[in-house]
Parts: sequence; structure tokens; C-alpha cells
Amino acid sequence: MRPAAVRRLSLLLMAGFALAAVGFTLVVGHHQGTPEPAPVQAAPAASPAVAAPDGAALYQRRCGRCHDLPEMARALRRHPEDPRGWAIDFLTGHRHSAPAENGPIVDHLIAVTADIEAAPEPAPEDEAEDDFSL
Amino acid sequence: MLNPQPLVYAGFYVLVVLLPLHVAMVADPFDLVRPWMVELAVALGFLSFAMMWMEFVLVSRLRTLSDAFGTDTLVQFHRMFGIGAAVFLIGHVLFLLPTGGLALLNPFAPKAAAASGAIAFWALVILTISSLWRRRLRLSFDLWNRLHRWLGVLAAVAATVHVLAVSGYSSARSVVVVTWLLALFAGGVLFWYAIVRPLHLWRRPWGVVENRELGGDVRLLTVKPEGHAGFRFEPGQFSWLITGRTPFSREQHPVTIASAASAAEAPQAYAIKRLGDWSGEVVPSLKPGDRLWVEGPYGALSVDRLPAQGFVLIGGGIGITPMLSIIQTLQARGDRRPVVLFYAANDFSRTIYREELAAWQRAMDLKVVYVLEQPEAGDGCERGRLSAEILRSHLPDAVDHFQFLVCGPNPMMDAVEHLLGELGVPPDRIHSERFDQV
Repeated sequence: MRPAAVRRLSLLLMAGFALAAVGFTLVVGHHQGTPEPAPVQAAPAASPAVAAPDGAALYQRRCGRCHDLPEMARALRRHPEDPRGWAIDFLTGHRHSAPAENGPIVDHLIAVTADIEAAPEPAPEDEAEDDFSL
Repeated sequence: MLNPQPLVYAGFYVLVVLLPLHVAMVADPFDLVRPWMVELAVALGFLSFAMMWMEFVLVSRLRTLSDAFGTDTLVQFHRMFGIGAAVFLIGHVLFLLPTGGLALLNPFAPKAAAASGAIAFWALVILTISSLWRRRLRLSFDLWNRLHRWLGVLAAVAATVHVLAVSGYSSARSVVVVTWLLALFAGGVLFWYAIVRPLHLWRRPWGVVENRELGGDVRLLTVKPEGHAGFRFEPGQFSWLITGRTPFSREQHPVTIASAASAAEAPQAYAIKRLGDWSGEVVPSLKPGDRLWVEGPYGALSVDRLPAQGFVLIGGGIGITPMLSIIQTLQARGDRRPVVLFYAANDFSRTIYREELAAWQRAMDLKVVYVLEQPEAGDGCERGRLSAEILRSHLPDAVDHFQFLVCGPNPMMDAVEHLLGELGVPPDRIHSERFDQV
């Protein structure tokens, strides 16, 4: 085949693939077309001792494959003014978890952060190396 | 009659590329509405993943694909779809940036899902840049070749780990299954190409019979099978010549067979122009009795597949070699159909097989037209570059049922294909093979 014909055919196929991607977006958007849930109310501040019992499991299932706990704890510590609000925003932004699951996950995260805060500070270069921007 | 084979293979390619996307769409494990940008990113990621794996299939020297499309066309598709896979992957990352941040690009992320995605991204970006701008980056062919192979494998494997590790659509069993199937299919082809094929070749060595200078920086290397029956080929086809200690050697180069297509066990001649390290250093050092491996035949530029009342052959520089094979084969077979050969070169010193061509003109219905850019007085040739006037003045009146075969440097081939179009030759009667793809 002539190069121009190959180029044309390839571009045509790839345009078709791109259209398929758009179609996928529309179809799964329709599948998932349940009404947008109301924003999650911030749960009352929880101490590590009273964290929701299934928070850890939910965290592992919804977040743990991509984000490990120390990384999330460090991210929370970078938002000392409102860690709970930031975490809720993070979870609703990702939408891997149901609104009802967000409270226990955040409680678990805050509990873990408290545990990590009680532990010695990591070396400064360690912190800089793992600056996970969320 | 239209050959259905290319259509079937093209349809299979489209099906395989779209399959993960379709399965993910049907499985859709999410109950919640997710941002459209995330879903579009996922879709582009699935497409890129499938296209990455299929890149191996396109250039794994599968003879059935080479027969259907021609190896040069497969390489062109490989190039275009490689760029497409990179573009889709960049789109995947761009649409995820608002939720994932720049951490998406960190190949040292602590989690496998994130790190593998970033590794696939950077491997494909580096691979694409090094291929598009190899000469500008002054990468030697050998270094580029190694980079290309290893980065390609790294990108595809990392992309597979990413798809399986991310807690998204791959939480659905059907998506996991189709991901594995695709990786196993293309990985299996890659395994065949990298391991099984060389092992098979190892038991079928060839020996150098003769290696001599033809002039014009061209050597004629004649080889014959050792302890096996060799293979049959059609005039105009090419083989991969593999030099080195084993068929696993990276020194593998496509070279057109210059001799007549005859018995499988007959010696084969290859005219090789000095163009780089391999042709300039390794080939001249081969001595009679040296061992090498010949993998073939490949290519679709063959008169045996074309119904015609005659042939117009247009060869430029070393692109003359398939034409030499075609002419010798037609002459050996006693074929009486007329053949017109346009042989384009810089000057006579850059041409080969002049005496043989003169002899074949006497033995068959062959007209040879030399088109030289810098001829000397009395050369008896056309001066300048091949033009519509030169073509028109030498073509027989009734070329409506002739087939046109073209081989040479890419700019010449582009020009000739354009010229033939101007002369009213329909594209389905113009056949070409290109080797300068990188």
C-alpha cells in the first residue's frame, strides 16, 4: 500500500477508536446515571479509639491499591486546617467509594494519621522524596 | 477479485483493540456517576493498552500478515498505530491529571498500580520520541533498535500490570480475563518471534558461497542452504539475513533476493549496498564457508501474484535488486510477455548488472532504459530524474494491462507513484516495497 493510503487508513481507524472512547464515556455515564448523592456531612470528630470498625477494610478496597497509608497520612498532615474536609473532597473526587463509605474511611485515615504523628518524624529528605501530590 | 485476507486481518485488529473497552463497558462495576473526564481517560487507556500489545503482532514477521499486506505496509501501520497508542496514553494521563495530580507521572510511586502506569507512560513516550527523531537525536540504528525493543516490552508489560492493579474496571472478572487473553495472545506472538523462530532457524544454517564487489558500493553475496532444503521464493521477494554467532543475533537485515526464483535448494544471491555498519563492515568481512541464517521469503512485491500482459519495472539505486530477480526468473521460464525496465541512478558507475541486462535484452522481450542524473557523453541514456515525459516516451502503446512495480529510495518512490498517477495508471496496478522505514 502507498504510504499516503496507510496514513489515511490509520488515521481513519484511530478516529474511529477515539469515537469509541467517547461512546464508552457516554454509555457508562448512562449506566451509572443514578442521581448525584448529597454531599457527605462531616462526621463528628472521632478519636483513634472510636474509628469506624470497617474503615480499614473499606480503605483497602477502595483506595489501598493506589495509595498507601503513610502517603495518605502525610497528605492529611499537609492540610492541618481541615483534614476531614480535604479527605472527603479527595474521596468524592475519586468516586471509588459510596458516600456512606466515605465517613468510615476518613475516620480510619485520621486515626492512622494520629498514630503516625505519635511516631518519630521521618528524615527531611525522606519526606521530600515522597511528596505525593493529590 | 478482491483478496479478502487483508480485510479479515484488519477487522481482527479492530476487534482486538476494541475488545477490552467493550468488555469494560458491559461489566461496568461502578454504582456511582464518575466524572466524564475519568471515564474518557479510562477508555483512552484501554485503547492504548490494546494497541501497545498489537504493535508486536504487526512486526513479528508473521508470514501470513506479510503476504496479505507486504512487510513495508505492516511497518508503516506499526509506526502509525504506535504514535496513536502514545497519543491515547497521553490523553489518558491528561484527563486524569485533575483528580490524580502530577503523582501519576511518578514511576517510583510506592503502589504498583501508580508506578506501573507511570512506567508505561514514560517508556512509550521515550520510545516514540526516539523513533520519530532518531537521526536528530543522533542515535545509532543499533542503539535505537535495542531501546525500541526493550522499551516496547516494558511499556506493554507495565501497562498490563497497571490495568490489573488499578481498582477500577479490573475489579470485574471479565475485564481481568480479557486483559490476560490479550497480553497472552500478543505476548505469545512475541515469544514465537523472539525465542521459537530463532531456535527453528538455528537448525537451518546457510553458508556463504561467494562474496564479491559489484561496483557502485554494492556487494553480491551468494549463499546456499547447508543440510536442509532451503526455501522457495517468488521473484521480487526478500529475506532477513542474520549474521552473528546465533540466529538470536541483533544483526538481522531485510535484503531483496537478486537471483532467479528456482529450486528451493539452489543458491540465492543478495546484492547489498554499503549503507551502514552492517553492510559496510560485516558483509564485506564474510568469507566463503562462513555461516549465517536466512529467514524468508517475505514481501508481496511479486510478479507471480499479478495477472498482466506485461510489466513495467522501475528501480532506483539498490532498489534494482527485486527487478533483477524478476527479469532473470521470467527469462529462465521462457516468459514472452514484454518487460520495460527503468533503471534510475546517479551515473553509470552506480549501476550494477549492466552486462547481464544487455544479455537478457537479447534473450527476451526486455527494454532497459537507464535514467541517470549525471551521465557522461555517449552513455546512451535518459538524463535527469525520471519524469512523465521519459516514462511516456518509452512505454509501449498498450500498457492498460501492464502491472507497474516500483522499488527505490522513498523520495523516488513517492515521485514515481505520483507520476504514474498523472499518466493515468490506477493505484491497483502500482506495486511497491519500501525498506527505509526508520
